[in-house]
Amino acid sequence: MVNGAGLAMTTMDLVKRAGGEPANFLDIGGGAKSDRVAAAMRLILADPNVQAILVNIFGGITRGDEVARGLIEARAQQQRDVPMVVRIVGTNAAEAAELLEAARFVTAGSLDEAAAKAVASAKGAAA
Amino acid sequence: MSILIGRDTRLVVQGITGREGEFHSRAMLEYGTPIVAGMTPGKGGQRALDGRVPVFDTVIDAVREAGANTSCIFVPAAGAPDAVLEAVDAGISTIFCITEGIPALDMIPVVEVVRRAGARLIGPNCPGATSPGRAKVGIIPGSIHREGRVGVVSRSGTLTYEAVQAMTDAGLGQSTCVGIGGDPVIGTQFLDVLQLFAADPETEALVLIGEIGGAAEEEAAAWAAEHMREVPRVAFIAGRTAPEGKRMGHAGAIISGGRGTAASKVEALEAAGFRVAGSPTELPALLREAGYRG
Repeated sequence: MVNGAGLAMTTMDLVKRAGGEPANFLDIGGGAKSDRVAAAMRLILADPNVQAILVNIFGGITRGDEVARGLIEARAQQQRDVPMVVRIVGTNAAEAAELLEAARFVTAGSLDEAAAKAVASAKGAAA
Repeated sequence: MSILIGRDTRLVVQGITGREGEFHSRAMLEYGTPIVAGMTPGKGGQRALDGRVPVFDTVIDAVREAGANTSCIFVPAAGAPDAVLEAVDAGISTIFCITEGIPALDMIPVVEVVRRAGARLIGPNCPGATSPGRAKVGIIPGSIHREGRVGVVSRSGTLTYEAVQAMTDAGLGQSTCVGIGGDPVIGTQFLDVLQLFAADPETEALVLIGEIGGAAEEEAAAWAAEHMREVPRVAFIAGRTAPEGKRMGHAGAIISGGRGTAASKVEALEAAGFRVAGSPTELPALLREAGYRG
């Protein structure tokens, strides 16, 4: 899950570079609120090919804390246990980090680290 | 100096009273951008942003009464082509159109009118531009920048932020960062921006962020090989793993008939003396390798 087309392509390229295979991508667009993020997460989880979820958000218009709230809401309702790695930078990233830490999400700092962690967790889930 | 925007910028925001227009105008003002006017039909005479900016009914009023020379458009897609035409008609020389979702066919005649008038349009579907420490026009977060001498040009929004953040983290400041937009019909191409950077004495290195689709990266690469030989230059191309025939989020990001692939762009850029990164985070190190000492 990403925000923006160029970032979507780049994130998939880096997943592949880290030895993984992207199942799909979902661009939440600009300025997504928490309900849109939660709905996006439900769509991704509906794909049975998904073994791990990488959330990569660089907030400009999009506010990181809104994304974090949406992720927390989605995980509370989640039926299937799929590992998730979250990277949120840019607008309101500090608020997002606090929310994610309190909810014990696996987070990543850099783009490359996020891709590597997601691929590793997908392989762990498949094994 | 810088390109497109700088100390002489006098900005009018078209659609300043809308939700997005107001939010981002506030951020631009906080960054120090001289917003001299806003424009919303029917709201002339009001003041926006806590009374700090006068609102006019038309762009020509903003030009005559507030001396606007640059415009930023946050008008919804249905009205955005007309907003560009109005800015051109009012004599605005540099027009940024942030709006996403304008049909390509609607933009074709608009781009032609802009060209004939000798004005410049950046976008549509673009994040705008920042000349760090001077002005920012559009929606790029101001906090990711640092003042310096690297010119950044990109077709993407958030990917631009990613690249700029990597440069700033590595201590490499920017002269101007420009997002030209991801649509197939845009007013300003990579090549146009490279020509501006080449003429700017304060831009001493170049970062080009491209993606699959079209041939704009290849054209720019060929020009740079000839005219920017002494300029350290690096690039990143998104979509190396994108399948053919699928539109990858941006309307212009599609590999069709085997053309517009990441491989062909990487090859053209490398042949033109660009170092091409495998990840945006590698750009600063590659720029150092290319001899940039800034």
